[in-house]
Amino acid sequence: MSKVRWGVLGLAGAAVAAAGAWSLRGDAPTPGVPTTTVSEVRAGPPADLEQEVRALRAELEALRRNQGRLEQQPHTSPMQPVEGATAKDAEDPGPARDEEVVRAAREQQRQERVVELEAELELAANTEPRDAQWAAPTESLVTQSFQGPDFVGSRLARIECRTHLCTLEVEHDDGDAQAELLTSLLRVKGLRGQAVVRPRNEGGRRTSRVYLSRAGERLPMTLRK
Amino acid sequence: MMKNTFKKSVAALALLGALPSVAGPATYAGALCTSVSGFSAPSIFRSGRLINQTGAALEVVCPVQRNVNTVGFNETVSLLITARDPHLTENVCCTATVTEPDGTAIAADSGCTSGADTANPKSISLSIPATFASVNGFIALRCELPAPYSGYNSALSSFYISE
Repeated sequence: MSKVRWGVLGLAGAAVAAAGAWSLRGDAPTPGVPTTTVSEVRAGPPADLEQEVRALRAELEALRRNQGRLEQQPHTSPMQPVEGATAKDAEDPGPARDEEVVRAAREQQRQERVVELEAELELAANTEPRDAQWAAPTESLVTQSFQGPDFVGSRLARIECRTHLCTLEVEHDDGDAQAELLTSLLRVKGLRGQAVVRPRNEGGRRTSRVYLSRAGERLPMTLRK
Repeated sequence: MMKNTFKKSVAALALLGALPSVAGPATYAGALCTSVSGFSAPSIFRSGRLINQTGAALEVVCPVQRNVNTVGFNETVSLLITARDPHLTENVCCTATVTEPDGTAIAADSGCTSGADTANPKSISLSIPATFASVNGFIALRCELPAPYSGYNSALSSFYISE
């Protein structure tokens, strides 16, 4: 009986010793792993993440401002209708200033897309095969049309048609002739389709480059829907 | 790993926030349009439609504000014109242009009805690559309505614009 008691006591003692050793090992710091308390484990990750998100937001805001400043320098007036308010806004960046920055950034984005799309049109104009059955009569039609009263003040310097589009180079006497070019061109019977004008004014010399699609067709470029 | 994921998430949210708003689509009555020449007898407007009762072909223009203050990813302006074309040989033809603020037409599309129908309206679908013009300009729709034919008048009922 006493042997049984001593046996039970021995087992209990061994269990207590093992538990103590295990608990001490669990608290001991592992090399290379930072020690954290339970409360730190619970509160740590959200606090870190919040701090990180805050830092990223600040960084993003700074980048946006820098981008806006850089884009505004070479930018022309049409997208800056709040120019008068910028003196105050520059000192005190507010919603108006942010809106202006966003507008300028989007205008820059649009201009980049225009360059891309025009490159597509140029590629088609230079690489498309020539459909003589359509190209020759269309070139004649456009050339004759420029003799009419609708095109007073504009001269057709060059026209070249391929399969899906024609490219025109037009010189203008004044801004009115340049402004009305596209409308006049699409009044010509037989010219029905999409058209894009790229007006230029280099030192008072006004010219326009026109891309004109075949009747009932779209210009060969990839527009985002 | 976690940091990268968060950077990506923040960047994605920033891009999402930067998505521009676009002008809401709207349908306009044909009566909004006005005769180009200004010298011919006025056409008659009924129920908002523009009816050509001049006895000759009529050219009208319909200026529409371009209610966009940001550039959208949708780079086209879509138009759907509803017209009545009873003429056997002539058609209702429309040209839509997007202009710069100074009125310089930058991009356009044009199309015509086909055939003739005295009872049912016909439609013309146009698509303008509007991204070539800055957003401060306006849209102008110009339509040619053929002369009356056998007592039936051509009419411009409405036009729908979406950007």
